[in-house]
Amino acid sequence: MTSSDERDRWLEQALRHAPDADATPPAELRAAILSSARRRSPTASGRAAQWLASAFAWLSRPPVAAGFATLALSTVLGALWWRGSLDEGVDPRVAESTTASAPASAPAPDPAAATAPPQMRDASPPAAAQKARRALARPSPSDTPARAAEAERAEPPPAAPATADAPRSPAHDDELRASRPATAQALAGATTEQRIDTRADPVDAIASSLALRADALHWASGGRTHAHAAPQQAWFDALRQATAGRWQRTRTDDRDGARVQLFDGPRVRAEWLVQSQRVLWLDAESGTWQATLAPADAARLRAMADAW
Amino acid sequence: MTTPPPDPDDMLMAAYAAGDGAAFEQLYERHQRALYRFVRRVLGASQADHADEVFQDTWLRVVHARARWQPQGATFRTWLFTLAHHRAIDVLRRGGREVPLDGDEPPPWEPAGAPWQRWPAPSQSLAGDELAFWRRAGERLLQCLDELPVAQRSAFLLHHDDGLALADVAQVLEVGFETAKTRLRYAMSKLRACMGAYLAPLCATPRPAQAAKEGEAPA
Repeated sequence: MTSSDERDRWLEQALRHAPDADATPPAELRAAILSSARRRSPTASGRAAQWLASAFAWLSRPPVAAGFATLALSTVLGALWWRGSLDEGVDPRVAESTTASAPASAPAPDPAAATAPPQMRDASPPAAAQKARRALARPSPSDTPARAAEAERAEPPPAAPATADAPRSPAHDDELRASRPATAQALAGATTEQRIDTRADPVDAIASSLALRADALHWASGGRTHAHAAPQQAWFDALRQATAGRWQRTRTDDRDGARVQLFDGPRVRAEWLVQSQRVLWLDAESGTWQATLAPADAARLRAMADAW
Repeated sequence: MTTPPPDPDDMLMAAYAAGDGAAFEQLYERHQRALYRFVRRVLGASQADHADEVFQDTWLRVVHARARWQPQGATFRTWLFTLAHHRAIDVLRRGGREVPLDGDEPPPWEPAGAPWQRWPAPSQSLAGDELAFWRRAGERLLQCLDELPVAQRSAFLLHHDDGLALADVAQVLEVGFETAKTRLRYAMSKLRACMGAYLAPLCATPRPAQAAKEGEAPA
């Protein structure tokens, strides 16, 4: 039915001249609707950006980063071996210790992390690295087994190869800080001992997230939440500086201290407990870590968080 | 046998479902004014404050349903107005307005003869007194619409204001064709009575120029 007999030109004319005939939705309503539509339908470039962001987030996860670091180290060692730069008389126990899997008792987030090389506890500073190189080059029957045993006791880090668990002097740490470039740079660069010694700080992964996705992250401290801003970045930078090269796994149940949490949406991305002489990092995936702190650094971190 | 060309709205909706945000903007621009007007008029003066809410909800339902939407059965426009009508009915019910389905109304009053014989003829170009007359008629029509049951008001607006065919009106209102037609007939009869009673004194005698046109105009 065409319904022409149901139309009334007079009523239509009156409708066209009604006061609301030219009514349009408010501009803010239009903006809200179009914004919602765009958010739920990302453009191709938006999808690519999202994909990249998620890829970075995945790569920055401690187990994945550890896996890549393992792969890179294995490649470097393999290349050196292939070129014959290492003596043929390498103690097989030492070689074994550098490629052994993490101890079964250590919680391994995923297979990649499980195959992370154990840490050579004396291998961080150049002097220790030279010692390790000497061990590789001229194996000592008395020294190497002990080193291998130590290596077996060492546990893998949450992110990339971790720090030694033996106490080190401040000068030692300064050397490490001065010589530690970014993870990728360290893996790509320099000499054999540097490749062995350089290890990514566990908080590097957090730093990457903050650099890439700060808008999606927020902090909680003292029962209050805060968007990521300059004070939070300053606190994180201070934490990073104070704990550089000191992270090591711990089994402590101690949960005292000033609690600082970093959230990625509703998920806790990282949680730290700043105590008087150390900071604990409770990582949902890889367990609990600690780094010793100078009392002044601990006090400063607590004060900075309290001031948010 | 040739296949009909695809509906532009269907193509835009398909593009939006595939991730083209600009297609949604085009859809919005094509329908926003008519939809907004429809929502305001269906809600009437008593619920006019909810017009923005209903309008926004309607479009958000389009956004949420983009993946499920299929260009079959109804045009995009019909579907859009169906969503808006559902939402408006929800608001009217929530606001305590009675929204009766088809009741047992007596047959509508039909004025004898041409109801608009004393009115100026509809025209695209109006000026002066005629324009002022139609503006007053428009104001009065909105008041008359408010007095209609929602079902009849919706049928009238969909057919007269938004240009939907009766079959599409029936689809939007989710009633049979004959039911939609009956609602429309009741609505028009009541509106004519309401409008005629108000406007007749304004044009006591037909204008000479219009009297000649009256034979051409549909009753």
